[in-house]
Amino acid sequence: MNRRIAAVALAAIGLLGSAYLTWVHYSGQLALCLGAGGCETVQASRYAMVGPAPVAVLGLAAFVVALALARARLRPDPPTWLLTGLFGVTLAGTLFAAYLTYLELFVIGAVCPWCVVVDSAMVAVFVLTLLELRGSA
Amino acid sequence: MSRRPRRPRGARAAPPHGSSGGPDRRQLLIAAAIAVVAVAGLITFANAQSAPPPPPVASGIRVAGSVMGEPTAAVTVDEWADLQCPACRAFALGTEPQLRTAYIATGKVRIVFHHFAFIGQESLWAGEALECAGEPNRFWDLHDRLYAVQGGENTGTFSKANLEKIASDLGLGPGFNSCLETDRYLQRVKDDTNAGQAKGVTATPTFFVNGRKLEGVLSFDQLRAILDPLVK
Repeated sequence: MNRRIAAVALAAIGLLGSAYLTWVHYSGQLALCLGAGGCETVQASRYAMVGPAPVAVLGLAAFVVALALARARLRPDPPTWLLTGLFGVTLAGTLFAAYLTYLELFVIGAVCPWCVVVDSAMVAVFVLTLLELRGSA
Repeated sequence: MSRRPRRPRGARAAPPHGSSGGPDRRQLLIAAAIAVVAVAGLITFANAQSAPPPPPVASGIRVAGSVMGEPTAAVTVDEWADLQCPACRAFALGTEPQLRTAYIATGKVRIVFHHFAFIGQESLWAGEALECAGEPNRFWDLHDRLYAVQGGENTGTFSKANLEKIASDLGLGPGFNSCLETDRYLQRVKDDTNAGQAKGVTATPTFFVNGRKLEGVLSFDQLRAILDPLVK
């Protein structure tokens, strides 16, 4: 049960981080080239968008789904599809986070601290999901 | 003697409630396959979208130093920007090419670049470099090039040596180098920045569209909504 609560907490952290990055994207805070972090560089890079969707919004959507699934699993006897869904969503999130981290390190040349928080939260929820799967196998 | 029921060999006790009957391997494989395909599709799509379109200054557009467009244009867009500012880059590479094609090349709008060099030393050098490139009227060519290669802030991308290399790729030669090395336009860049501060510029990019102040990266749609009533 502790793992499930931890998954909910980490998904909530990821959700808040993505919500902040989404707000930054749409609020024009991007214009303020202040601060030491690389968030501005990363968010202004051409990789900050996938088609019409900012990456921050994709992250937000993934965390909304992950949080909903993780939260639903706090109930007694949750249906198995919740864990399958959480596994799928967090696996996709982890793969995409790995790709974005690669871009930050080797293509854009700047690391966005907020993105690191969000990516780490996704990986952590994925790992907890794997542990849950091991426990239920 | 009573015997306790024995589990079949290899079977596990039912775990406590809640985790009973975890997903089977087939379900997990399907979920993993969907996740991998979705991410691969997303990355492929993102890469297809993000091929960097170089924004060359279209031939036929009048450029004079830091001014692009016809002097008779109905609308003047004054832009205050820092060449190290990623948001300015986003505007220059994302919105400005469309602005040039739709409004500047058609004589409706002209844009004037003003330096707001506040991020650091390399902002000043990059600004100076633009002015030096302006001597042979290559201001906008270097403008586009510098935004295209923009790197981290004050990390050497816009060191004087690197600026000379970038300029040399554009065919700017010894005249450019001596201009930059002697800081011929340092004061000009500083004056621009001070003038921007006096006008209330606090962030980059900041635009004044016929005097109306707008902050942040304007999308082409936003800009069009502002420009259309003015150019009619």
